Parts: sequence; C-alpha cells; structure tokens
Amino acid sequence: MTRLGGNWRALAPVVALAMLAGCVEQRAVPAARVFAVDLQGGARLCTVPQNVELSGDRPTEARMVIGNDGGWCGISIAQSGPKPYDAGLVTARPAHGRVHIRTVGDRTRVDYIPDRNFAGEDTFAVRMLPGGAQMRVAVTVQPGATPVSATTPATAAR
Amino acid sequence: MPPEPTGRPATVPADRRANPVAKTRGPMSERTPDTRRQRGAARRAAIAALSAALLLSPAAVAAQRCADEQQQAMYEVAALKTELMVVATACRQEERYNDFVRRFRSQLGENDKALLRHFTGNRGRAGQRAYDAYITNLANARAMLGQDLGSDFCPRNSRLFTEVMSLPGDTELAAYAAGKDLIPGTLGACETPAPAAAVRSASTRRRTSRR
Repeated sequence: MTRLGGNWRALAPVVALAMLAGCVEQRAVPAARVFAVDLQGGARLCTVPQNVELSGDRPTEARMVIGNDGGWCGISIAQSGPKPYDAGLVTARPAHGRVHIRTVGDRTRVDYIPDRNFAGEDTFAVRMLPGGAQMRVAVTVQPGATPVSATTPATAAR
Repeated sequence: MPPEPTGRPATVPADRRANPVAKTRGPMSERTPDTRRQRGAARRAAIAALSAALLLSPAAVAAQRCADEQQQAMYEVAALKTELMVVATACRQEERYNDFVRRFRSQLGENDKALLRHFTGNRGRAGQRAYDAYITNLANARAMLGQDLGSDFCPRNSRLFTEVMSLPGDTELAAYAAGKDLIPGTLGACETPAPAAAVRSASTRRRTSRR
C-alpha cells in the first residue's frame, strides 16, 4: 500500500504536466468564432451541395435551389484545415440577385440573395484567394411566400 | 442623424458620427477642413431628416441596382470604403484604415471622382449635394447596421481589413467589394434624385426664412 501510494505521488507531477499540456494545446488552436448574425436570415428552401471541393485547375460547378422569401442561400467552402479563404472575388455577377462572400467559423460561405419577387434561373461566379480557385454557381430561384425577417434563424436544408 | 436606439452599445463615438462624410475622403491622419462642413444647420437638418426617412421608411426598402456594371462597382467600392471607415472609427482601428487608404489611394481617388461625376452629370451643384447626401446616408446606414451587431461588430467586421489587405493588387478591389453586399437596401445604387430634392427644398426654406 505504502509503495503504491509513493508511486502515485511520483506520477502526480507528470499527470499535472500532461493536463497542463492539454490546456496549452487547446489555447493554441482556438475554435473559429461563429457570429449569430451570419446564421440568421437564411431562406427556408435552400438546397446546395454538401461538400464542394474547389480545384485550382478548372472552375468547379455547383447548383443551388432557393425559395425566394427574402433570405440567403449559401455554399460553404474552405481551404484544407479547414480554414476560410483570405478573400473572395465576384468574377461574374448574378443578373437577378446579390452575392455575399463571408467567413463563417472556419469556412467561407458564398451566399446568394435573389431580387425581390424574382423567380427563374440565375448564374454567378466567384474566385477565391489565395490560389484563385473558381466556382460557377447555377441558381434556380423558386417563388417564395413569407419574407424572412432579419432575426429568423436559418433553417435551410444543407 | 436618426435618433440612437436606447439600450444598445454605441459603435461610433458621437463626435465621429456627426459628419461621417468628412471621414470618407482620405486617411484619418490627413484630415483637412472641409468647407462643406461649415454650411448651415438647415442643410444638416435636411440631411438628417432624409437619413431618417430613408433608413426607416418601409417603402424605401427595395434595393436598386445600376444597370451598368461599372457604375454598380463604383457604388460598391464607395460602400466598402465607408464600411471600413465606420469599423475603424468604432473599433479604434484608424491605422488599419489609413493603411487601406494608402494602399488603394489611386483606385479610391478615381472611384470618388467617377462617383461624383455620376452624381453631378449635368445637374451641377445639385449633383454635388446629392453626392454628399448619399455618402452621408451610406455612412449612417452602415453605422446603424453596426449597432445592430452590438459587441460582435468589432471582432466580426474587423476581418474586412485583413481580407482587403490580402488582395494581390488594386485591380481586385472592385471584385472584392462586389462580394460584400455592403450597399444598404434602403439606399440602393443609381437612385439619386431624392437626396438632391430634399437638400434643395431645405435650402429654399432657408432662403425664404431670411427674407
């Protein structure tokens, strides 16, 4: 008993160091912060591909279906890690809506917001930095009913 | 200036909010006296009333876009510059704003001139007043949207400085601004007659009252 107790006492500093190391490691890699405002106002109907991997060689094609209730529909993309892109450029504007490229946590989200009362087909393209990977998005906008308020949480299908 | 909502943290100090236009003209360390700032209280009141009307009227919520892409880009770059100014002022990041202005000085200067030309067209001074009113309303609208974010405003929107400074060259500025959706729906772009009319009517009232 006595020997065992002595072993435990000897191990105590090692255990403490291991625990501290765990704390240090947690501090070194903090979770990317997600802001509530970036999750609000999503369209009720939003169908987008789950895992879009951008290639530096050629533009990636993606499809989006959104119900036009005033909300956004977004495609999440990321660099390896994952980590968000440094910046996004709109290389081809949509004819019937707006594009909003924003960082959400450790990913970049490319949102499309259709013009009010628009229904039909639209397209846009973005280029991400660094690397210059491109994504072309074909959008189908379906008529929507009730406008989404700014405080409505996103319930879009992902 | 619309009345400040109660119970929310102010994101822009009151002395800076008094005239956001002056802060959008260049680096914050290079401010010069602007004679337009010394115009009468009636004009400022008119702009404030117009700001409130534009920001609060449900009828004005539909955003207008320019038919011409280059004109739309002018508005977007102006909105980006204004947003960065608001972030810098509210979050005490003036040095980052100055770095941004210094780096894109040429592009921003050209954009300011082109936007002013777009407003003035053949309307002369009325166009200048409309331009001033638009920039003021833009800054006020961005500041009010910032207030809605509360304590998230600075940590979230300060990222814009990192993003914009990561652009490899000046030519990407417009394409970057196009993806930030910074033009308030209450203002839109390429829709300018209302500010000129409002300011003109205020000037007319002032002249009338002097007689």
